[in-house]
Amino acid sequence: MKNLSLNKGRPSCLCIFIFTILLSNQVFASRLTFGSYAQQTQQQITGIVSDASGPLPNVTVNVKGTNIFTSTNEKGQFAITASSTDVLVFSFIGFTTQEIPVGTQASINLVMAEDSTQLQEVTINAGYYSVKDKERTGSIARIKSADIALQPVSSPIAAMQGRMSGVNIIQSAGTPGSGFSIQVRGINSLRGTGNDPLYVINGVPYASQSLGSNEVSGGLFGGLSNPLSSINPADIESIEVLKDADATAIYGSRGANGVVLITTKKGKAGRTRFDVQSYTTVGKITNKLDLLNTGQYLAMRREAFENDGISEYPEDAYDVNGTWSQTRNTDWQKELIGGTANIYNAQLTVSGGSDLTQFLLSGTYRKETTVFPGDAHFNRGAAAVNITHRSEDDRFRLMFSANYSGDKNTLPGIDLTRQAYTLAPNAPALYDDAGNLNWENGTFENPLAQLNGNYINTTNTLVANTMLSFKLPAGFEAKTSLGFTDSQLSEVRSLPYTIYNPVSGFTSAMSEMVVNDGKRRSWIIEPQLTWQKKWDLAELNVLAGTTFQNQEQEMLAIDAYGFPSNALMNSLSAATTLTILRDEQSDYRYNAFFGRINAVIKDRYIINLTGRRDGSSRFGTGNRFANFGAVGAAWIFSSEPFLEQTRSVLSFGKLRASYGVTGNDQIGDYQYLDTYQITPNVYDGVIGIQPTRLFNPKFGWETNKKFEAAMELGFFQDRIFLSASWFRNRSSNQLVGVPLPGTTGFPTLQANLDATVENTGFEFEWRSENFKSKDFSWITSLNLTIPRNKLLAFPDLETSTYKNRFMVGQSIFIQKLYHYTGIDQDTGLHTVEDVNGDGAITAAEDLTSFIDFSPKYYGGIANQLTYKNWSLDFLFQFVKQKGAAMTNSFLVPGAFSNQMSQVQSHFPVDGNAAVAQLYTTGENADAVQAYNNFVLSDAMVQDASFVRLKSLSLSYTLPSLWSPTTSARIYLQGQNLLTFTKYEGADPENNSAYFLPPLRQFTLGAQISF
Amino acid sequence: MTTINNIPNNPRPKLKLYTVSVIVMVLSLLSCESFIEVDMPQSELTGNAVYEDVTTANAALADIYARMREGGVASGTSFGGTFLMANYADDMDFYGTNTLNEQFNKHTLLPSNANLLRLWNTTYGEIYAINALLEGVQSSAAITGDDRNRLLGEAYFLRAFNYFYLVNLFGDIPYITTTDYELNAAIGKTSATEVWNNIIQDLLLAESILPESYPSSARVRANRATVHAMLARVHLYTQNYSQAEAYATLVIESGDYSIDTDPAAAFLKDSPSIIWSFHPGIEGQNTKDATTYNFTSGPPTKPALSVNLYDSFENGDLRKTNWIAVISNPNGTWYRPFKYKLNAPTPESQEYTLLLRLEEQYLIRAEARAFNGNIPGAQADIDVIRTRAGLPATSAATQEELAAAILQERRHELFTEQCHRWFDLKRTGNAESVLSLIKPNWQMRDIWLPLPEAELSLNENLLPQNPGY
Repeated sequence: MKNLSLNKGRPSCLCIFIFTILLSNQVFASRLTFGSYAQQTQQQITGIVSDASGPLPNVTVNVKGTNIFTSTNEKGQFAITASSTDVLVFSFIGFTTQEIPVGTQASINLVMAEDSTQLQEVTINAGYYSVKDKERTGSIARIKSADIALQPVSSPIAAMQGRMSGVNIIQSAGTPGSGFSIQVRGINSLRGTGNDPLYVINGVPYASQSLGSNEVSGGLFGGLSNPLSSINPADIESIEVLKDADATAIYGSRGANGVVLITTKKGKAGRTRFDVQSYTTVGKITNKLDLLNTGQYLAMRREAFENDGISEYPEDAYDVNGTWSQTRNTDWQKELIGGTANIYNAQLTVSGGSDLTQFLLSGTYRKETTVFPGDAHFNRGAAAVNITHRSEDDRFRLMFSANYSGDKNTLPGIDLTRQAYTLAPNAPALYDDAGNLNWENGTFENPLAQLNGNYINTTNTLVANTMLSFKLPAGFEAKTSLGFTDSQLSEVRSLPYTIYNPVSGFTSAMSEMVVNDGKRRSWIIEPQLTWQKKWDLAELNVLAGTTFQNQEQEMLAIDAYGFPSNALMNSLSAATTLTILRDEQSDYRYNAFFGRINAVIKDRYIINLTGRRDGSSRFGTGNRFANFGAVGAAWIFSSEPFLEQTRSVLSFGKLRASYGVTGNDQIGDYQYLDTYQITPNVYDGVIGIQPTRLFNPKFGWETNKKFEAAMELGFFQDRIFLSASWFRNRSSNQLVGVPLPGTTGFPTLQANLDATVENTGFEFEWRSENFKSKDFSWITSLNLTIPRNKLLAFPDLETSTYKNRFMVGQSIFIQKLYHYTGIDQDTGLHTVEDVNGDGAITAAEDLTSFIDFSPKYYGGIANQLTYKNWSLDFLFQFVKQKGAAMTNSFLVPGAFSNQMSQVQSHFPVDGNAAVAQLYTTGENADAVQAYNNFVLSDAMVQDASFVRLKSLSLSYTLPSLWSPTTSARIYLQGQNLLTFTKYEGADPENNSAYFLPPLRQFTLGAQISF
Repeated sequence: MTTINNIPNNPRPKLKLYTVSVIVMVLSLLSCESFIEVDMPQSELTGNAVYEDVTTANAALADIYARMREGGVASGTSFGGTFLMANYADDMDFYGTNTLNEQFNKHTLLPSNANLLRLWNTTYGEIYAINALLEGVQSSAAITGDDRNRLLGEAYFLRAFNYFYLVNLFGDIPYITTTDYELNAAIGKTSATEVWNNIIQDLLLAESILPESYPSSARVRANRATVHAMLARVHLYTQNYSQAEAYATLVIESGDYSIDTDPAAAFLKDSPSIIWSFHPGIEGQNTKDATTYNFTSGPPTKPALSVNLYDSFENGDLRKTNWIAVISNPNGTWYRPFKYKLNAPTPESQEYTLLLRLEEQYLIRAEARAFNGNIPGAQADIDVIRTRAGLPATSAATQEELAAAILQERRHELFTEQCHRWFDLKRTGNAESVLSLIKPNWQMRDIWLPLPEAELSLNENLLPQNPGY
């Protein structure tokens, strides 16, 4: 709570806030005329809307300038209350919107005309402003709630996968609540951790850095928990991703990696509507590895001992020395990760409201289980509130939204995937006859012992925002956005002594619990002023605003060791020893001015100027402010008179381009200072303090210059619509944790490196209405991204610490590997090329094979087919890339650990064709070294490209049986149904032998609205 | 708000107000740069601030001791030099599945071994903190007099102590004395001879400014006797026998230390022979070493005490019965070090990890005397140790016999303590003859550990790698 009060800033800051309030009050006092106008006569208007082939259901009917909406029923009928001076607006996607003044009519019948160009009228959220898709000068990708609803996902990021060009998303593990990595137009920063886009939820920046602690959950389930996973996808109306300079420069120092805007659902005026949705999902792992069975495994082991010249099996070689059964054969993948994961999700939404005030309330409950044995599960309760209000004279508007979610994720102490792949197939049974964990007299490290421990992650997230706006005379409008976020994470990893082999003799005095509490609160105030002016030939939009943001974060991680009994493990006070692992508080402040000038001339020449001056507390005093800006322009050439004739074919054509500078400040707080930090180390009653960083006065912004050129074309009334864009982003002044030799006392130093990373790429999107009739329609959309990454400059790379990681002119995704030269037919061992010919294999000189692991291209193809009440949606995701073969995560073939079945092809029996070298138990040091070199060689690079049927959804809308306002829909969905790949591992996407791959899921759901 | 409905609608004068408001708003914004000043978090201090106060300087020093206990060359943890080098020498037989430790035990050590890198990085991290403390205290205006001498003296001692291990393990090493990372990132190797000289210089500096008394209640921090004990050891290793004898005698005859007659009590925290030990941290904790070596049933899942060592004890040696635990079951018999007996916390701490103890000083003096030709003196010193172990007087009578007897005595007295056995084998030239018999992978290159591969690739001034790797 420290520093949360406003008066923390200087009086001048306070004064603006007060002034804003005063201003609003003045405004209220003078302008608001609640309820004082004479009421117009309201009457019921009814009618039927149809198109060329008959009545048209679901047409939106709106009283213009109000929030009164209704829609037509199955028979095309509608009824709405309006006064004689009102205008009714009839709109339906794919048809030209029509406006009919009410006048004296009590009944309005209307035939609507098809118009695919409607698509161009869609308004896109660009953050501080919104823009018609047609007039857009920047590059913005978008998905809507309907797309999100096609998949049973718990994280909004998952819903974006495969649906947006330029956005590459990888799911790191298949366990509930696991992380995703997201890259918008590639990686700009040489730092692994500085490539997150900026997330903004309803106008409130939302920090994406995990509050999880490496001491508790680092590396447990494919990375720390991602705060974005706490946002309930079902509450989201749309997600927009801003990609180019034109769209991102207004976010200044935080826009370099793209901006993800999340907008939540709002209520609509009209009857109070109830919407109940419920689905249930079953999931299994997509693929099992082909591993050795007991016969094959033991043959390998025996041969390994023979090769190593060991005739008497050691006493700890339980698998071959007769301690364990020689015939027992267990499929550990089935036992440990072969279960069925269930999801149950239910949501109730109530929405409605009057002309002036609308609301939406929603509650969601979700439960997920895992494929592991035991009762691991994920629970979520989420609630959303949205209220919009406007004054009767339409000058004052208010929008309030709050989204809360509480998640509790209970997982086993470790991801059992690794064990499932490596346990010897003849390892003993998990349980003995009495149903207790079987340790086989201490010889078997029973993996299920890990279920005695667990990892529990509890997250509470609140994002709230209030937007006040007031229309002033002369086209001005004053707005203030007030946002607040509160995230709390509490994680506990328990390691009771019962997870260890009883032969270790441990007691509850060795039981251990690691806990972490993370809190983050932020507030933001953004007063803004807009001015709009329309002339006959031109329209001008101007925006100016300022941002004050404060974020405080605390983390406290404690290790509790030694308990009187395991039953007391829930209480830290019962522990013999408490060690504070991490006690951090940080404060981040951010101040900016931003603005935009947008001019549309003759409806076809558009210019958009945006800029931002940013100050951040993350940098040293002399280096805190910087300017960012962009210019974007578009030309709708299809509106030119000289193309009048071709408009029946070329319905839309636009060229646009943008150039600008954005920045990146994702470097953590206080990084420029040499600091001492309190440590968990106590010595002779004194609590230690430790140097945590080297002093670095030269610490500045990372800048990213973006250029984009694009063309958008629509044919045949936009039934075919395509866009192609080319971008070039150059990121320089790289803020990098430069790895330091151990002799400096520190692993890294944060410093600006004068290196430049370039991301170029080509993005292509296609949407076509292949077929459309009253009963049947078929829409195809495709997105394709061909990215290219290149390190343009890196001064003194040859003498720098990055010498072995990067090459100028190459992608920063390259890995330097040895060049594999086959199995030496004399020694039977893998060999790699000794490039410098010095007779030894050394990393510095012999890692000369460069392999680029970045995707060559990726994208998705979605199809939507509707036939009467049926709707079928499916999405294929495709990625062309290289990946590390899974075999390189296994021990040397012949060791006490199972292997993929391909190692059966081995030296000497398979001679030149052998896959594996001479088996060794690990005793043969040369063989181990040869294997280590092999694992680091280009022999381990595989084609990890894949085409995946990512999602498939079949839904049926029930005919309105009992009331025209009731609708019901049932649906069947599949996730990760089919994967086509040459990759020889468990999954080409997460590419891991340690974490659970994404699951294949089937969902059955129903939705009723009334 | 409903009460204000009737105020007349009169926009024109208001417009002026808006204009003024907007101007004031914009002006007020321009002076907001101070908004982004933030407080330091309570859990952090800047480097300068630390050395403006004795309390925080003491906390920085306490952390150095604690870090040395938790990791690095003399730490008793399973990543510490003590355990790794006990495996490297003939103290331990390998059991279990930890391939990183296996490489140490079986002499298949690769330069990429992660425990090797960890040992290196941790130790140099501690040296950075020591150098930062030296620089901070030297330039501090607030820390003066006795406090200044004590802080500097302890830091010089700790720096010498760490380099002593590094130079013995790796030979020529980078010798760091500043916190300037630009210098330290590109530093080359310093010859072992020069490092030995620097160690002696640091110890002499420490000797000149450290008080005779311990600054702590228990013997867990350095005082002048600690420095003398270390100087005795350093001079023995550099074969400066008269100096070694002189410093050992200073310690032995100081009257502050004695040897408890009961070997079972030798490793308790109050043992009178302790010259310097690690405080275990929080009251109630005991040594890291006890946990590192502990197992209670066989076959063990981690390295066990070498059978060869167990069998080498003479009959009746009380150290064999008091300092070694025997684990038997129908499948076999295994041994583990049992000098430290408590592998779990106790209401009050009972055992500390011993770093310098009087027994070693007697053995240092015995060896120094033997090489200086003082045979009876050497015998007398050995017999101090043998008597406590319940053994008869030594039968060694020549310099050569004495050298062999002392090596054997050191093996039995100092096993699994801070690299002693490995260093003894190496410095006496017995490493190959002893280890090649029990470690089939023994090669002459093993005299030095390889420099970590990651370190070489980050700083090529450290090339070449030690020979043979």
